[in-house]
Amino acid sequence: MAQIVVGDVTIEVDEDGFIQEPEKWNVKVAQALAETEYVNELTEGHWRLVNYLREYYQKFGVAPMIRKLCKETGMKLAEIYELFPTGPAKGACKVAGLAKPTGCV
Amino acid sequence: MAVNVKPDQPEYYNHEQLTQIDYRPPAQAWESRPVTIRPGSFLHPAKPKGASSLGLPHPRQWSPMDEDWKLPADWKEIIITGMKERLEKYRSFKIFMDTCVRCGACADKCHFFIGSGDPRNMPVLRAELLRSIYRNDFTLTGRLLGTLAGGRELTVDVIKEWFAYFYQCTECRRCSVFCPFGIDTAEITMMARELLQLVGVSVNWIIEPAANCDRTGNHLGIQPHGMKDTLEFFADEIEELTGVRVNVPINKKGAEILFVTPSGDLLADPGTYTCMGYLALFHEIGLNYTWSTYASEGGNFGLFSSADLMKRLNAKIFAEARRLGVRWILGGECGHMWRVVHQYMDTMNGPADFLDVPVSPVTGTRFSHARSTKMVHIAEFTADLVKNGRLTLDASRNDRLRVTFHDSCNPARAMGLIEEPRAVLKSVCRNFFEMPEETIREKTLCCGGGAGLGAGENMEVRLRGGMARGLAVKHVRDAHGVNRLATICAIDRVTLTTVCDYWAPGVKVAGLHELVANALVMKGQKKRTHDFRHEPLDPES
Amino acid sequence: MDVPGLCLFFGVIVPSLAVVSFFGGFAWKAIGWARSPVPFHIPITCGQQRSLPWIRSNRLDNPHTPMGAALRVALAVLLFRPLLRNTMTEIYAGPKLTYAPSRWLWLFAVMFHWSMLVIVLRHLRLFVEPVPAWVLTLQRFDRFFEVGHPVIHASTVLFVLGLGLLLLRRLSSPQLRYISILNDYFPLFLLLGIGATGTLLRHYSNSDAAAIKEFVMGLVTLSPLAVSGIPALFYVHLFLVSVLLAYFPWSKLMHMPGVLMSPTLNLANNSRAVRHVNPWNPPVGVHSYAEYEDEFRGRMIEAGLPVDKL
Repeated sequence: MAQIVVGDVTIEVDEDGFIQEPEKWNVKVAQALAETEYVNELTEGHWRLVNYLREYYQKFGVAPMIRKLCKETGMKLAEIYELFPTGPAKGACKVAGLAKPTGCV
Repeated sequence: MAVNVKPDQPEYYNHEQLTQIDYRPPAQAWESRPVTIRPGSFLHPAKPKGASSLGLPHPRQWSPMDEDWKLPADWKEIIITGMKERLEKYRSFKIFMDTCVRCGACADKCHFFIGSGDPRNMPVLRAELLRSIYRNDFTLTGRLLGTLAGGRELTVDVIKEWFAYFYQCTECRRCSVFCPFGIDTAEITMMARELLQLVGVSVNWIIEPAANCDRTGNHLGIQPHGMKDTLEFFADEIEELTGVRVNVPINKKGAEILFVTPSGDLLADPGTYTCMGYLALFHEIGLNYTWSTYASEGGNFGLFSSADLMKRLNAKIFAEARRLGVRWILGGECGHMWRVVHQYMDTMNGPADFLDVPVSPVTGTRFSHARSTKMVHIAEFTADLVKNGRLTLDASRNDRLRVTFHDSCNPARAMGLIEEPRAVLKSVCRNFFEMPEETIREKTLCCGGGAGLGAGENMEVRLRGGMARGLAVKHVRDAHGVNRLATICAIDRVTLTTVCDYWAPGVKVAGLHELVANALVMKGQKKRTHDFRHEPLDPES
Repeated sequence: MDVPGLCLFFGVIVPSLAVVSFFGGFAWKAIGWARSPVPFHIPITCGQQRSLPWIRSNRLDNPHTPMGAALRVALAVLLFRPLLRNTMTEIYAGPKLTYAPSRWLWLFAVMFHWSMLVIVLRHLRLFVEPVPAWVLTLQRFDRFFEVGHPVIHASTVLFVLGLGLLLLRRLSSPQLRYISILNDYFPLFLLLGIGATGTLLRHYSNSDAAAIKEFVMGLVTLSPLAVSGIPALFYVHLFLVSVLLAYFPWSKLMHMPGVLMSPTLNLANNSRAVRHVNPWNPPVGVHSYAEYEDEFRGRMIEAGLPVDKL
């Protein structure tokens, strides 16, 4: 399995670059992951999304639906795409250290 | 925005390249032609975590791009023994191995062949991938004459070829409609996938949802409190849109009806609007029903994996109906779910003798066609409501939509659920246009992403597989200005969104009950200004 | 038993072995199929199901009773009904896809199979004494056109033509050539050979029908005789037929009984009304509600969801 190394942390990632060991996530890991999703710098907007995703994930074990993400962060979908060009499900979730959703999605 | 697109994104593929399709086969015989496995064409293998949590054999880390797939040492024996066992268990398998005459009627019926021209995607050849091994190892002529009798030795390359092509089949059964003997490629693909699974070759897009479903009750891994949170969120949205607060009964013992729908509708747009549609409808007719968090999945990715796994996941629905003490079960809009419910559930997990024959509490209609399984499709249920005039509908609210209907493979070819959704649709929208006859009803074309193929990494396969459907949508878009594709399948709602964006831009996908909810006049409602997507009903105002 | 060596071999031994192979193999194969159960109820449905009383169901293509399913199979067997649906998919610039009706395969198949049936029945006149009246009637109809001397049977023409066209179709389509294997060509050539030798026997050799009948009756009654006046060509014809009979059960020609036993065609679409039983329905380990609640009880209570155990 592929790995990424951030500082002194080595984390396993899947084929799409989603981390497989969520407990190893930290701010630096987020920054490293952001680069793989064409985000060079994590701004306040990025963090608002990432923090909400993490909070939801920690509470419910899955990613929230996109509309809830928009409503709770006060961002429009288009704005999210501006921040994460690969979209909320792929880009933002990856940076937040979530697993990739599978199934009828 | 300068973003390098990758093979898992539709933008990676340009139309011109994708549509340069030559249906003439290459000169080299398929038996000796190597299989190309390249990014965009295959699904990621099952991760060891999901595979082991389900107790599947040989969980391991491997990649289809590697030369060595790390098959177990006795892989060949496992496959041959597995084939023998399945030949003894399934008459269908035996007959379909023996009777094909290679007349070729099926060849150009497969959406993957239509979109790729790859000869191995002709259903007849897809079956021959397995049949050649059958002939070699299980028939007298094959044992005596080998290749002369169409036999082929089982090698690692055959396994790789099976992986590539039995995961380029969506088990849609369109080819079977045209087969003079009813040879069902879905059945053959199911056998091949079971065999592959025996040697630890399966895909993550199927195994992870199945593992989630086993543990949390649904493919997405939504936990009970999360499901409640989601449904309450929908209730908030409905209130915002209609002024009516709907109730959200969950795990309610003694409810009359258990409602089960695919979990995709709890997470992914546009399925979420359909889910809101259910809530609004059930509230309006005062249905005494309940959601279940334990049986929170109608879909069944076991169907795409193995009969045993299908049974295991499906068992929860009857078990929960019994625990909650409901009288019958209502099922939501989902394609493959209904293949399982209609053709497997009663056999696998019945008899449901603890339930009553379904009767609509609103109209009194007895659904005697479901008298044994005791599960009714929501399109049947709603069609009955509409026919009996029990809903107040304002179809003008859908006037800005010009709608066509995509028959989902399984409801069309494993049930014949064809007129019920149309009856509902025609009562809730006034601009309805059918796609060409050869692309609907039992001849409907697959979305290209069913049977566990709806992932991102196999995007090329999905776009090619969705081309035939996409072009039929484009046809009605151009001819009638169609801008909305209605469908009764959760996979469709997601995959056809990609297909339409690519092949017929401007057409959006909706579930049937989203359109019902738009038109539904609710008691105590405020004046509606927006539809269930928060889009203004009258864009002019 | 007074039959010279070669005649004994081609006239008695080979046909006998072929008949044994045919009936033995046919039964072995069909019983082999029947021994595997039909675990699941998997008809392929075309057209509307039977559900609500006001929706008209398609009783031919989506039957909901066993009788309806039998009719569906009968229509598939007798009229090759699924082939009538056939279309040809083509792609044009644009891109644009077309699905034009294509019934050539249906036509060729009907020509060949039906004429073959008539020919087989006509041959009964050589096997049965006295010849049943219906066989003679069938023969009279077959000679309706009264062309040639002796009169050419319409079935002969259709048989050879049907086979030729099926072969031509297989050879002319690149896709079909690609999927064809030896098993596909062999029976076509074999049947053409049988047709050709049969036609020659009737029209170009001065064969003595009475002598042939005497010989065949000898075979049928298991007391083979040496009969004079039988041309060598007859033995060629008989040999090819023997090869066909012997080959039949071990080949794709078993599609004949296969179509009758195909569970996608011969089951009624009534699986929600009548429970289908799987004889090997295996027990599977199901993650029970109790186990589920054990894992999530705390969160369920917190969220205000009812639980079974507090």
